[in-house]
Amino acid sequence: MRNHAKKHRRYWVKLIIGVVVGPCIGVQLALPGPMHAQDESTSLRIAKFIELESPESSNLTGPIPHGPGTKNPLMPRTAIPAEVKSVVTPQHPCDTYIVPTPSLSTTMNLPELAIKEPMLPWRDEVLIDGGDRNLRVQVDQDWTVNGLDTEDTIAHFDTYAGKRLIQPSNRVGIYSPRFRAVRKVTNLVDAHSNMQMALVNDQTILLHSGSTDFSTTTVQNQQLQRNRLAMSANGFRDQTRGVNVDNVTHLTVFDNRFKLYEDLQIIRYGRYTGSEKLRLAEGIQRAATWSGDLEVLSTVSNLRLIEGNSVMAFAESIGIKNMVDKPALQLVKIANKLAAEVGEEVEFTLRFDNIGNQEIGNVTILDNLTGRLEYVPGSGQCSLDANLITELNEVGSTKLRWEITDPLAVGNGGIIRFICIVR
Amino acid sequence: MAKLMLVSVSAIALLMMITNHQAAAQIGGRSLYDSTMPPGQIGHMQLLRRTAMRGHLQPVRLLAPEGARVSVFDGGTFQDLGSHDVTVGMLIGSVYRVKVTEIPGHAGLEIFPSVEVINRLYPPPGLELKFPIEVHLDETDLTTAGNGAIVTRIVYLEDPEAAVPEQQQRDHQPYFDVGPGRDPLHVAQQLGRPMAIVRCGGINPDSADLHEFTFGAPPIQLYQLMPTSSADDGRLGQATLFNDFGR
Repeated sequence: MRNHAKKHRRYWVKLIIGVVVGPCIGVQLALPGPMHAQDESTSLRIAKFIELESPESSNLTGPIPHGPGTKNPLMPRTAIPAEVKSVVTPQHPCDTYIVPTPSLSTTMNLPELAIKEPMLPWRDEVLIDGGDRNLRVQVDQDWTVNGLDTEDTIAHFDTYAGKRLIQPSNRVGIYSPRFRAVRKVTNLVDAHSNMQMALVNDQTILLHSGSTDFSTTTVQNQQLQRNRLAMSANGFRDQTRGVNVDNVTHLTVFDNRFKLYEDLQIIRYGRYTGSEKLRLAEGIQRAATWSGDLEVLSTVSNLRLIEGNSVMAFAESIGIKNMVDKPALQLVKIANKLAAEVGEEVEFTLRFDNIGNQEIGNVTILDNLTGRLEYVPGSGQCSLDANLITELNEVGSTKLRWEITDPLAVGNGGIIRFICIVR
Repeated sequence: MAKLMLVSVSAIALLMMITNHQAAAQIGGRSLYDSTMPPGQIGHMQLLRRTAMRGHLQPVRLLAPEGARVSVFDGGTFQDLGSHDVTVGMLIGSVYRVKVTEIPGHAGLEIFPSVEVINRLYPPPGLELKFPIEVHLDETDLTTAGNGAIVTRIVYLEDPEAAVPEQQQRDHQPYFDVGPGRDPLHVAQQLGRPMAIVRCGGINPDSADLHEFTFGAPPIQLYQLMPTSSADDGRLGQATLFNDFGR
């Protein structure tokens, strides 16, 4: 009997714990908030990554396959072995060439409690193009490109060993803040007015109404003098190419003269020299170094200002390691403007070089423009034989894809230029 | 008896779940700021949070309808700057009274909007005057205020990663209205970084003390822009000051 009572008590304790504490823990775990929001975004990223990894999703999107082993008429390639043995996840270029700035897209998690302040307060004032943000770009065996976010600029190429490597460019910043407004109109509600109708006196007498209409226009039917016959087409020829391609241009014209802003050793010859470090830093990240020289630190009694100068600087640096027995591509991007207003044109230059110790092929350079940059059609140039493919991207701008036709020998390189309008 | 206990325990559990859920909803928090706060309060709270903004003169472009004239309060009176498009330097956290007159098609209408700058820009050195905060005193806003309504306009810096992919004109600032029950400051906060608050209402200086009407007449910087020397890198020519603080 005592054992039965014990069992009965244990049963109720378990029931209370199960029914009361369990759901409470469940609710606590599901609490929305900054920490959980972070977890959610992480899990979303993981989910996105897994989704991108799945073969079904890989086949749905992406550019036309090209290169060895394919029958793409756009890109017959011969120099690379026909069998691509495996797709190797490449080493991230941050480890080799480019040391990027600390995460530029990080923002403080205070959106609901105070006025939004980015961690780097100027980040939302700068249009950035280049690099490989968020998920790292991966290229499948069928040349499907995954993880190409807006702003990304990357190049991928194949090696004789069957590797497919990816090289992002540096990032270019252009200062161009844009403003919009939210408005609210509030009407006063305490102005009431009651009006009473006192008298209505309106007497209208219809005296006479007369109207006579005369015909002023006659219509005469005329006989046809001549019959014109429109012949319809009796034959129709339809040519349909790849469905993912919006526009393919075979680039034939290239302006051989270097622009003023391109007068750098790394752009002209693909060689990096330390003496150009400062100028290059300005070119690749012009909008990155700022000074708060307008800050008034104190006000004195005679109403004069004492100006203080506080410099907050960051910049990307480029370093080249000695590449022994390694295929490598160098991709440098610069812009011709420090800042641009809405409607202004900005010219970008991309310099790519084979700085490894072996020939590489299927060199493809991709630039996924941000929504506020509008590609000027026909402005794309390449110093080597290349096809330029443009297609609309997910933010209403353009995805540019240059496919370099011939393999790139050791020490060789080329230049790509294009113009964008700031929206 | 057992059934009664089971029902009571379930009821308690349900009550605790609901309470926890309400607490969870409150953890998201509510904004410290809203657009109905008195002018200047948001700016002052910003200065408490970020002391580096204190004393910073932020260039602000005031753009009224073409043909109108913009005046700013300086030296004890409203100074007509002789144009509908002027750029002035404003202190963050201070509230400035602006006068807009000679609005085309609305003869005799005078509107006195207030402008409160609550954040700053970080342009490259030398480009501060080329990239001011754009405050558009829209004709619709001015006439609506003239008809007795109160117009609150929050100017925000658009997040480039979520920018609307459309070409924008320099002399037209796109805007949209929020309905009842929604705060424009909160909406602007979701879309970017709020930079300035413009309030237009049916108030005129005759009905109030001028000092109070001009929010204590905070110092304002007037610029005289030289012509653009070169459009190569977008830098403006040298900007000179022709009126310093209270001088």
